[in-house]
Amino acid sequence: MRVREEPVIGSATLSWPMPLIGGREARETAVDQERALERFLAGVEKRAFRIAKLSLRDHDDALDVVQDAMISLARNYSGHPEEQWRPLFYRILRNRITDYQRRRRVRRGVIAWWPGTAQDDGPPDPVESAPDPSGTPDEKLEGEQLLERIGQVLAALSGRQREAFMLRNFEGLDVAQTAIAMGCSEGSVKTHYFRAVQALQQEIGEWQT
Amino acid sequence: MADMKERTQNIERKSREAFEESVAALDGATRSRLARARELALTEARRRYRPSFSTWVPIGAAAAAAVMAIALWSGSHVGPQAAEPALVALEEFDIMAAGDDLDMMDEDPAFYAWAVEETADGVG
Repeated sequence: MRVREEPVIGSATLSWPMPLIGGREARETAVDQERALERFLAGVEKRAFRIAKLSLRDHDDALDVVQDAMISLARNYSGHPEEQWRPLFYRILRNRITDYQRRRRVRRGVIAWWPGTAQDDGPPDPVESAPDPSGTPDEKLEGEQLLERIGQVLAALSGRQREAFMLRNFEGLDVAQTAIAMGCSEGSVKTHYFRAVQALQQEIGEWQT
Repeated sequence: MADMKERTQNIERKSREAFEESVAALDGATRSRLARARELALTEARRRYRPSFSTWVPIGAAAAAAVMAIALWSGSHVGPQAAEPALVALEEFDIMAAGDDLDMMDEDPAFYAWAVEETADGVG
């Protein structure tokens, strides 16, 4: 089942001329909406960064996609009801992550194909060449080690399984919200989530024993 | 069944705790970058909510501005909103191309049992 995005009706664009026509009340509404957006973004930015980093395995790319997603939400969807912001934000973030991953694959393909490129042993191994996200050994906490291991397991899953697990378990979205964020049916969300949990049980359980 | 549920909850809890710990442990430089990104986003939002010109205008100019606003609002269906149908169309293409794997119900009784339990617990 496809989940359609709600079309933008007039409210978001009507809010633009309202401070001129509607006076103080309209300006207060606009200020309230800005504050609500600021509260939302402040609450979500760090978590979104961690989720993006688990997907992209790169610190700077994760920052870029989170920034892109925040700007896109503010620009295109801040006129939507506040309760829709979270799933919409993660939908945008997911699309940005997918874009980055596709660009990386294209870049690797071009580098591998382009004659004269310095490649000693063929195309780079994406796992070996991925920057270590865990920092120095002194900075590692037990939880960070576990998260790193979880990240490795999640990286081996399909994108859908990874998304379902992170959105449901890390971000706390319910099934319906996760379906909106992922652009799929609620049944699909449950399927992908179950597979992800199975994989984690198998890998993390063995690692911890 | 109870054992599977317990193991599921255990891995969910451990991974969530590890994630929360990693969020709390974010370094200052990253937090600062995120705060700057947030400010950029809010600047975009302010451009939507507040016009850059003064809202105090004489009556005659207010009428002229209202006419212009209506014209711009009509025109805005071509501008920013043109991007949104494209965004929707692109995202729907992504959805169609994703190829959801939906054969679990037929092939995996364990999934079926888990899904029944989730529904009974009122999860999601």
